[in-house]
Amino acid sequence: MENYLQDIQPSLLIVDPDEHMRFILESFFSRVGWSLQSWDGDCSTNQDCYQQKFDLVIADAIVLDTEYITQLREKRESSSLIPFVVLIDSQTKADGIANAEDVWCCIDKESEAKAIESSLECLVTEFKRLRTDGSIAQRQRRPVEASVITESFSSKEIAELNYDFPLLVQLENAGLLNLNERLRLQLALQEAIANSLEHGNLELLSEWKEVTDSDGVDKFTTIKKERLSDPYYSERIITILSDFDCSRLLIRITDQGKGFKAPDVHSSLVKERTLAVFGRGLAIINNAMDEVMYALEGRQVTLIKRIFAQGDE
Amino acid sequence: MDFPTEIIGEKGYIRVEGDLDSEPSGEGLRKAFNDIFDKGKRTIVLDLSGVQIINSYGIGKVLMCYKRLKAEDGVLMVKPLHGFVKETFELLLLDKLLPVEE
Repeated sequence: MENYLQDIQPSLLIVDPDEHMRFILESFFSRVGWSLQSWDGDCSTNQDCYQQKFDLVIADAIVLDTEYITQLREKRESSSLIPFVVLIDSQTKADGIANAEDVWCCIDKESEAKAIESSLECLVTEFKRLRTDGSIAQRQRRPVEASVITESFSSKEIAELNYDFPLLVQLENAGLLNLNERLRLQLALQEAIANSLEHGNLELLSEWKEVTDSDGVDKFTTIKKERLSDPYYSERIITILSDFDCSRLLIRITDQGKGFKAPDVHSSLVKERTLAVFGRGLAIINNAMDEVMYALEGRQVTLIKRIFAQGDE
Repeated sequence: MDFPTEIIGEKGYIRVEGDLDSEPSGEGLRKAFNDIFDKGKRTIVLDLSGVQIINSYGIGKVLMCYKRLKAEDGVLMVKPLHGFVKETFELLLLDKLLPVEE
């Protein structure tokens, strides 16, 4: 399977009141494809970037003791985790403000543009090396407390809601999942919810996907719409329990339908298996999860994924 | 949701943008497909390079296009795939079914 995770570009926050220096940094990092956000260091503006995730912060030394930067460094819990690069000049160099423990390296703003670019190229190379060997990802990790979240939705509500599993976002923020791992799990869990809704609560049959009108609209979609307007089906409840304990993510989805028998999706014929009207969602689920178990005659599915922090396996 | 279409010679092209994982995007694909199909084109190329997420619903819509073309000896092709979409196509063996237009 192609490993495209390494292609994800880092995100950068530039905090510098000096427009000239910001221009040099923005030009350089745009050219190398990093996603970046700039801020002039004025605490009355742009506080929302405090909530965002960055892989690297480049800040002028004169803003390091501002309230925002202090908050940002505290927010990172151990401030050495997200590398800080400090821009210094002869004045701030003398202040020694850039000598804090979490400062990764310094760049002299008074150097010529070419020398600054050369320093940035070295910085990017070193950053990529640390990222590849896992040093940066490891240092970003934060502990996640064991937590159980239980939520219930009517069929109508869950059909209109793109439920994104808040626990997965917590795990991603804690450094236990990267973005693509989180998306892969989220997609698999949304497939499981779709199964509970469509084949459970709404009692839709997969075969109806094959029956289309002259305009290409299938019977499955048509009847789904009708049943979402019928209180008999639309008021049935789906309950989602999410639990993370140490290294085990458990999601349990329970519906109020008449049960569901997982089909055999293991046809040996590639074409037959691909064109089958059922089983694609199950293949996505089985691929992403370690265990998939059905109970209550198929009205409940439990999905388990073991999530190991790097070096814990 | 409307997806841009283009006809070049005997081929029709559909550029799918955004995630292909919901009814609006599935409907968008169906309409774009009908637009080209109704003009008599039986070789249609899907450009999914702008799609980040595709789920079983989206795959079902792609296969519906495949089946409608296949019924009239047509061909559904895809532009080279990347990332999550490529991974999902390989998982579901669609890469064996749909030729790639380089």
